[in-house]
Amino acid sequence: MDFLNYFGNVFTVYHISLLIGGTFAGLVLGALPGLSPTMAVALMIPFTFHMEPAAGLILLGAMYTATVAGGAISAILVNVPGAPANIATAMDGHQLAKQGRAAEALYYCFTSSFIGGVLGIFVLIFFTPPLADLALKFGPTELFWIAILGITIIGTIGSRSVIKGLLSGLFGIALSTIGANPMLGEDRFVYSEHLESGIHIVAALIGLFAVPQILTLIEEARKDKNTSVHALGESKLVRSVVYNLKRFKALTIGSLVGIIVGIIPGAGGQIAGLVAYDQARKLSRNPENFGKGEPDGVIAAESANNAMVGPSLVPLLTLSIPGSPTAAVLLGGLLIHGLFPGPDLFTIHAEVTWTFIDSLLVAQVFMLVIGLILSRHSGWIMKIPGHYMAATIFILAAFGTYSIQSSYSDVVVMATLGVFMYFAAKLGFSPAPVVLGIILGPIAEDNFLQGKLIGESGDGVFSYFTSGMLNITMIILCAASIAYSVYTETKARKMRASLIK
Amino acid sequence: MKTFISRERLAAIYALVVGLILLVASFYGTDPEVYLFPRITAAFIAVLALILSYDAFTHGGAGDKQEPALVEWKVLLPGLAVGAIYVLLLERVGFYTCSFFAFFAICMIYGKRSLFDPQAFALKLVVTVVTMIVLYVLFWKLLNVRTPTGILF
Amino acid sequence: MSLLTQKFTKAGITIGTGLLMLGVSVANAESYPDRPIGVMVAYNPGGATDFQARIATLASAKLDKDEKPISVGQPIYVTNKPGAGGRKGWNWFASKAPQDGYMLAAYNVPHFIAQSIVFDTKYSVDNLEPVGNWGADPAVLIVGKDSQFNSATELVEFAKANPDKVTVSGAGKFVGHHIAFLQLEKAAGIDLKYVPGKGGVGAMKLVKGGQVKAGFNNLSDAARTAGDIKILAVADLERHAFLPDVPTLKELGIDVDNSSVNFRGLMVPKGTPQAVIDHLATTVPIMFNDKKTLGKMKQTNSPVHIMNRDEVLKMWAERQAALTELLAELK
Repeated sequence: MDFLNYFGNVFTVYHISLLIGGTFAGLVLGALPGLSPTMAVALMIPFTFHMEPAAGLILLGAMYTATVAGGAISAILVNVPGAPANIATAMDGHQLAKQGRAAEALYYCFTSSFIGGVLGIFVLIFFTPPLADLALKFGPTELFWIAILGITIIGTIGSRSVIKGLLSGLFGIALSTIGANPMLGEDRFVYSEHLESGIHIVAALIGLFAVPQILTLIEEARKDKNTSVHALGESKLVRSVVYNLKRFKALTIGSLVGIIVGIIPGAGGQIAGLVAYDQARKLSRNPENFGKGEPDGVIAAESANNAMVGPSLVPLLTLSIPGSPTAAVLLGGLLIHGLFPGPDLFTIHAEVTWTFIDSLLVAQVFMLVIGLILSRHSGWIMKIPGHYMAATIFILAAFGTYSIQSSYSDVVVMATLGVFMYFAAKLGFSPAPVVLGIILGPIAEDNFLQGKLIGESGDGVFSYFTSGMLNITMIILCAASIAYSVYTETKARKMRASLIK
Repeated sequence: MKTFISRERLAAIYALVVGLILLVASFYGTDPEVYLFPRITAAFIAVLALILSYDAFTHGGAGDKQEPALVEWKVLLPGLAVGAIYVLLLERVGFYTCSFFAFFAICMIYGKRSLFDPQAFALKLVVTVVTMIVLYVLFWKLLNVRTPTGILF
Repeated sequence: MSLLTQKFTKAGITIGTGLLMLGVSVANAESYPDRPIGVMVAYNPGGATDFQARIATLASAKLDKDEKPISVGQPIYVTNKPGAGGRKGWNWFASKAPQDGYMLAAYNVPHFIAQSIVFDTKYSVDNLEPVGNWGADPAVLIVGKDSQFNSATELVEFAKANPDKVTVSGAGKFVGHHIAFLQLEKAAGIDLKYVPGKGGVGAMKLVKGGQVKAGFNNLSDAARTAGDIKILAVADLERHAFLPDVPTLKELGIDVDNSSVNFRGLMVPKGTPQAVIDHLATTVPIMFNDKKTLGKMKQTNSPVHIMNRDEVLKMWAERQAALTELLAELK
């Protein structure tokens, strides 16, 4: 119960104002396309330079939590996810917004984020030592199978047709192989200097989502007013929150998936939302509602996203191995203050560490309150005329993309991919599987090649990849997932065939 | 009656073209070890594209006789042109100058009111200027993102 | 028509930029520096090179009692251009960065030298000018805490009996760890298997998780997590102050020199006015030597090794020769 002793440190005027400021800034920054949590935390690190360690970490922690939730705001209101993690939120969230239930969707989003976030941090507080050991067991082979497991769900995410979904996902994987080969360092597909460092996931995300949205907006800008402007709608805050709390199944699935994905180092917390969304749909009594504005979709995705935050710090704080890209940046923030992950953190630096963890818990509360207030007043965004909206997303997309890694090439890549996606979308391809492919491709490839090298020096590659409890479990899960996809696809085909007759 | 170019068929052609390009790019004159993953991916894409085409061209897209969603080129082209010019000049002329003109251009082209309505013109100009100031304060001042200044800014 | 316009625009832009550059550099000669200076880091924010660069440049605008600048004289900000193991950023720096002294870059030796030898890069020791070195982080040979090996000699013996069976992780190809690995193989006459990890952190994880038998990693990172691993040897000429009990490979009779030591410092592109280079060469080491900076470096476990421009030039030339030889054998 160590953590209870340090709440006093959090509740100082200075720290609380940092928390409020960080949360507010995080929500707003997170809502801008391109400013993903990873980016926001990275941009904040220089500011914490001159602060006391505890204060600096409180600010970074608040930013981390809030940007993850903030990314959902733009996902819901304008169908442009602020970060890869929020793709799943856009699927049903934006549909709700189109039906005039934007505020309601945002209430779900923040309530679920809060619940997921708090659960995740409790995992961090109580289960850190055993989970750290578990995290180390995930070597190249286990991570390879996780990536394959992710690829098996690509087909069923966001597209009507499994084949088109898989095609989009594989296209994403192909995109991810551009740039240097991870093992040999030799360039691949570098036909232009803009492709030198490969395709950055956030640049791709902005291109694939924001550009088609801009083009759709300008297509509709001069048409009838009603097509592009959706009313925010009357929605009772209390009723939405109560409804949300009753969606116990979606919340449980979301939080559990988020926690599991968060612990696995290198799996990339970015996929937590999508995996949770997929599971929630498969286990739902009415899966056909997903993609058409099902609150459970938003609830599962957002609880997963925030449940991932706490556990992703477990391997970071104990083993110096970050569980998500943002945690990796946070590692830099710790090191700058001379806090080296490991046992020292909970003994010598216990005060700073526990204050930080407690502040994360308090940050969840601020995120909920500020988020709900912002949701109430975010209606005006939906009322912005199409041409201003298009122009704003246009400029933000360029600036957001540039600021990821100060690279003009990223802007070029973003724009090209975006236009390509716009036309592909007209033909029934969807962007979510492409992004998933870009995330999973490198995880699969890096770990396969690493595992292959290690296997070759041992008992052989095949046996290295198929031995051990974790590997076998993962392979069984992959098989089950493929079987499920085949089953749904054949069912859908039979349905269509009978319709023709 | 069904049109030859249904949405499914166009999608199949799109996929086949991408698959073909990837196959050529990853197999032709490349090192098998370096291009291992691209090759596997390209092969899978090609196979799936073939399945998609088979579906689309044998039983007429399995009931999906939707025509391709229309692309309104007349509406779209000016926007795409603004985007292309913007991206081309971005680094040379400077991010802020380019963004100012691009933002203003999009507002002018796609605004509902007439181009020559002085009131609308003034409003659009003000919105553009305010957006640029917000952008500058946020990115340059607060986040320290140094965008290329080019020859102007 | 459009082609013509394009050509005109291009010409116009070139002339315009040229004039502007001319104006700027004339004004520069006397008054440099009169505005903030950037440092390009070719790695992600939060990584070791990034945060060390930020600490190393902390004192750049410090004034003495008479309000006179003691070192560079302007604030320094960091921008990151990560990608392709640093190649992306350094390519940009050598080909596109302004040559007026307002954009410096952090270098990592031997990384950039090795890359310029192996790959077709736009940079090499010939078109970059160092202005000072702040740190040196040797590679260390590590194994998991439950490993069968208790010394580097045991590892070498085992590898002799079992060629290609010992897996060794490192931060990537053609970085310091990889160089140390190649040198160890060559000096001990053994065959090992190199497994590039995802950066130093990824390589460390493979060792801690027991997925590889051994690894090369940064001395600073290894010293920090000494409880979870066994540190067998240092790939440097002398023992390091952080790890006084760990022998060098040389002491153990394995002839590995300091070619793999990761040197970090600042540089400008060739073509920068000599006056600017001179100003930086005198002031940058003073900036690194600032008391607060040194304190922060110590606090963050970053090994400091300050060198002036001439020393760095010599070190670069030595590395270039050693690495050309080492990597030529590889091909």
